[in-house]
Amino acid sequence: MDHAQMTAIYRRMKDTVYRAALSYCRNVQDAEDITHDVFLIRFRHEAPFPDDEAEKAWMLRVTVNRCKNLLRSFRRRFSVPLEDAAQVCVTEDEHTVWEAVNALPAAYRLVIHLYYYEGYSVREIGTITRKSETAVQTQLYRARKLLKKALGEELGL
Amino acid sequence: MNMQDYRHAADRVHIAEHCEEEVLRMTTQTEQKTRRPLLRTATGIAAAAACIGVTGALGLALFHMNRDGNELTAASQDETVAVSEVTEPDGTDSVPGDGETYEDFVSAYYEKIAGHPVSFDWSSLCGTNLNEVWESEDGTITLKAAVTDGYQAQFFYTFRPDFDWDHADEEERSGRLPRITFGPDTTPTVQLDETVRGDGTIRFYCCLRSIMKAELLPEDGICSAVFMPSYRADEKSYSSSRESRTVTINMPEQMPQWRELSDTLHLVNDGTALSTDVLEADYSYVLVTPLCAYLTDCLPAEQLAICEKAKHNFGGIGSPICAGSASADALTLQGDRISVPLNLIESSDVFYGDSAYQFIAEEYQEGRDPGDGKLYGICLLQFKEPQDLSEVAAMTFASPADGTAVSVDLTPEKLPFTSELDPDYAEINRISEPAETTIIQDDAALGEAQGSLA
Repeated sequence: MDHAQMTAIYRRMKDTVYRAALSYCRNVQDAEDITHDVFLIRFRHEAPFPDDEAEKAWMLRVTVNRCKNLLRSFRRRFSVPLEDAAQVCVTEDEHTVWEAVNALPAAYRLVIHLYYYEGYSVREIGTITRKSETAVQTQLYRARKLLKKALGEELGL
Repeated sequence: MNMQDYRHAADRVHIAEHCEEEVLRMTTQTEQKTRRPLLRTATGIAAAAACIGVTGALGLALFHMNRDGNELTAASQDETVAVSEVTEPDGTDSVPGDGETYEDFVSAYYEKIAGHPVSFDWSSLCGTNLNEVWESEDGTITLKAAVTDGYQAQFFYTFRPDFDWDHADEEERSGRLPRITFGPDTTPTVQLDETVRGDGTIRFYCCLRSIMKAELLPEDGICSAVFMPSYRADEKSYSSSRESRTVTINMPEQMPQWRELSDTLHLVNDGTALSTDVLEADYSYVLVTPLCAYLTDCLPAEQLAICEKAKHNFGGIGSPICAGSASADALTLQGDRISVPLNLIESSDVFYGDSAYQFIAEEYQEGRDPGDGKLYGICLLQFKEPQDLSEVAAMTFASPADGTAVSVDLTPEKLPFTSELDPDYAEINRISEPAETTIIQDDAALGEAQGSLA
């Protein structure tokens, strides 16, 4: 893989990977580190993907694995979150919803992000996170329940 | 207010521009690799210290994001670089000259045993890149990589034959092929390439069983030896030599834990002649890792106690791990753990979640105490494809013979393996000095983790 190919892949996938990592880790620096790692793994992966969607799903799966490893690690336990990236919100509603989503447990944040932001189906999320559809549905149900509890029924989930 | 608000906010999340340059630069510098598990300890301390140090003073300035571009400031770049420098791999992790890494080797191995390409995040495994070279009369053998789950270690090496390998017959090949061994443990060797590759080498796999506990390993690494046979068909001569080395491999931050099965599992294989001793074992404990599931009928503390007792009574069982071993503790432990593959079971059905997975299964007769005849066994069930078990809460084992299923709880909140060893552990601890320091560290880390959870 040459430099131009790597650059193209990076520019195509960087924000997808970074957003997923940030959603899981809630820490800019961790998300950047994970994004670095994921792209290094991607660039070493020589086997071609059938299409961009397959590549995206593969990279998200690697991202999720790296996030899980990080959250289990010694480093993560002793690190201090520097920033929650809340400045991305413009309106009050955005801020409220963003805060509520980020207050969810990591696994719930991830399925919410993949479902509502990336637009993946329950089955696809199951493939990415290596969970059964039932497990994903359960997590989505619980995440929505927590969001409703935090934000009220007007959230319209 | 709805989830559109989340989408709009997430749309404004962008990774900093400088990251692209850094990622692309790192890909071109082969010495810069993905962070290694053991190095994360140092990274964690450095990162935590850095974070604590700068949080109060720099605060939001460190990661100030503007509203449209959300780019990190120069200050954050400096911070990232500082941490990256701490996490640079040391020399032992340098990538071999041909650029092959442990991910490449382990991927090739699982493709070989699964019979098809295996999709897995290989970097999630605990691996080490090595470059340990032995010269034999018939070629060069290079230990290239290791992957471990904390209980066993899979090693990968290449052999560059100085003779015409592709046209040599089987007798000549086996008579001239060096082999890596680990003490008395018979290591199965798998040839990954049918013919010599373009770079003149052939890849091999071998395995060190029963690492068991990181704290009982010698501080300076795992001792290996290369057995170098020298067979000359035309001269009808055969000789051999052996050369030992100590290699260091990365170990997982968290060691795998033995779990108690909900009921004993009587593993029976239909029709295959296995050792009666092993077949009579009722397995009560299991250790599950991404690479293997291990079944045993008594916890390792008891196994070690049996080994130690036998050693004292009879002056040792088994043979030393290898001549010139650097650590008597390691020699004692690993030398006592006789692992003799008794047979290869074609497959066992083991289920977790909704899916069935095939295993390669081997049974081991691990040891016998000549005093009271007590026997313990370990059944090794190697996954044909590594498994991501991070979200698996429970696993069910079913013996194919009688269909009896027993389950094991795999939730990560259990106490660490070391604390399950009381009261026998105290005895073992005296025998193996390096254990104490590590246990204190583990307990401290566990305490911190529990504190942070609370």
